Amino acid sequence: MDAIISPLQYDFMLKAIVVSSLVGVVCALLSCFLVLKRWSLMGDAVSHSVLPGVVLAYVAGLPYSIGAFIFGLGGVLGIGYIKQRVRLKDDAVIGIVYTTLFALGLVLVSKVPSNIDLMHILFGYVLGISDGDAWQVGLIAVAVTGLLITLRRSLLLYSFDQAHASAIRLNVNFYHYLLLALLALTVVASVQTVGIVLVVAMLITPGAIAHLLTDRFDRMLLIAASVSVFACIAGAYASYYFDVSTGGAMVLVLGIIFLLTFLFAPKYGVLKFKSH
Amino acid sequence: MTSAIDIENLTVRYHGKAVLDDVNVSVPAGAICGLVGMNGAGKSTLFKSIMNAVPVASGKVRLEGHTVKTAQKNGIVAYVPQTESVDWNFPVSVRDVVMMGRYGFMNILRRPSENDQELVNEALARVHLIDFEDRQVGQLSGGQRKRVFVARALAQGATILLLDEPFAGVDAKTEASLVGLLKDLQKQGITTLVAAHDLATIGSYCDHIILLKQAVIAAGRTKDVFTQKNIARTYDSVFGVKEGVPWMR
Ligand SMILES: Nc1ncnc2c1ncn2[C@@H]1O[C@H](COP(=O)(O)OP(=O)(O)O)[C@@H](O)[C@H]1O
Ligand SMILES: [Mg+2]
Repeated sequence: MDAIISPLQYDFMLKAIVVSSLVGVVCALLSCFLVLKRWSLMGDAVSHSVLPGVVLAYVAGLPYSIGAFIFGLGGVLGIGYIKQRVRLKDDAVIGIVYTTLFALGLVLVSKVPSNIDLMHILFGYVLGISDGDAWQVGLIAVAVTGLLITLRRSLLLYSFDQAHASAIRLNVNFYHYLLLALLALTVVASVQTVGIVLVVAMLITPGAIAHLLTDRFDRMLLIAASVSVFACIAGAYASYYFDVSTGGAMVLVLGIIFLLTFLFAPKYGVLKFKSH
Repeated sequence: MTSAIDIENLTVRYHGKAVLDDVNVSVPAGAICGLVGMNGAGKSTLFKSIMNAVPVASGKVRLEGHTVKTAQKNGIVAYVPQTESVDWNFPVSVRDVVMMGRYGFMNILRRPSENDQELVNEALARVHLIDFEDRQVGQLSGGQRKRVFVARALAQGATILLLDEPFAGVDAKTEASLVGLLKDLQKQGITTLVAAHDLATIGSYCDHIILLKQAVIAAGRTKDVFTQKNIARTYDSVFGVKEGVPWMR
């Protein structure tokens, strides 16, 4: 018990747990839509595209989140634009665009004099997050979570059956770009907790785990969020006690939970329990 | 009889190539109308133009006298998707899907009212799926899967149903029961346009037929237009027409 309480007397630990849990929830909710919509690669795309934005924001003296958002969203909009105009398949276009933006970010980081720590952006640094950033991240996470929960049914219809959605005159384009914008915001909020490489896992794994555990969408959201928060907290403790990478520990916990689910999920695991 | 679907001078092009070429056709209200043509004849494209889901080069579509936009706003028309275009692993129950028929009448939160719940119950009863309402959609048989989407159309209050190849990969018994359902709905005044590329049975339950090959080859009452000659023109040859089918003449 003491092992759980005592780290909490440190401000940085408390802050890390609160911030990463909030980020964990929003990533998890979004992951449900991404997994169902087969948009997992989009998480990859947005997160890697963010890098040049972070550097340029620093140069311009703006909050990193603004630069990150512009590039994250710009990346996926660019992908959409190119996709409609060439005969290449989605995955090729996605791969080209985000690796190019990521490479631009790397080049900028190495040339622009700044105190940006590349490792922190790539892999997160939640234990060292500043108060200002913590507030920024928290606000984004709460806002996106609120929107996802309020609009979940409309977003679900959009994901499940676009033909019907447009037949009943639901604004399909609006939901398409809304989802992309929320994805970009979520990635922005995640840069400091798990970093832009590992956020990809946070944007896929919780939804995938939950999809193996339930046939109800609302329950899927709940399971994904719980699993993700658990992983975030476990990761923070692991990093406190064993001095390992926080983001790494969080994602590793998620991976282990996925493996267990994959094996033991009652209905959809490989070692099915014959309960039905 | 007034017409449920009226299509005038409809032309649709993909990359400059006409897929539907000056289609003029109407479907009378209350008909079960077969839309017959080879793979690639433009059946799905015709459905998409009726649903405003594809840019049309020219022409106009009217549904029970309304523009497509108005008809969609009022829920008059519904499309039952082809089986392979649905993700059956989606975590939605039969009831969830049927409720989506009501979404057009709800605000952005899509919170069902008492009335919505009742209309969904009714729709489920009409397609005999009440006992399956909590099933995940993937855990249904082929025929039941079709019924879910028909129920969604009914919950929506649709009076024009578009079914795209509902009998593809469905066994004879299931087909017969679906046809039974369509005939029930016909008695309640619902117009059905059903696409098929397999000729084996379509003539036996459709009272009207449209033969399509990029343009309309023939359209009208089944007994008038569903002739060897027209079929041959639709299919380029008599290949594919099974011999000894009773409704053939
Ligand atoms: N999105 C598309 N882009 C280009 N060509 C298409 C598209 N959809 C359909 N086609 C072409 O239009 C023609 C008609 O297709 P379709 O309406 O699906 O026929 P059917 O449903 O009768 O089999 C086919 O030649 C098909 O290749
Ligand atoms: Mg087709």
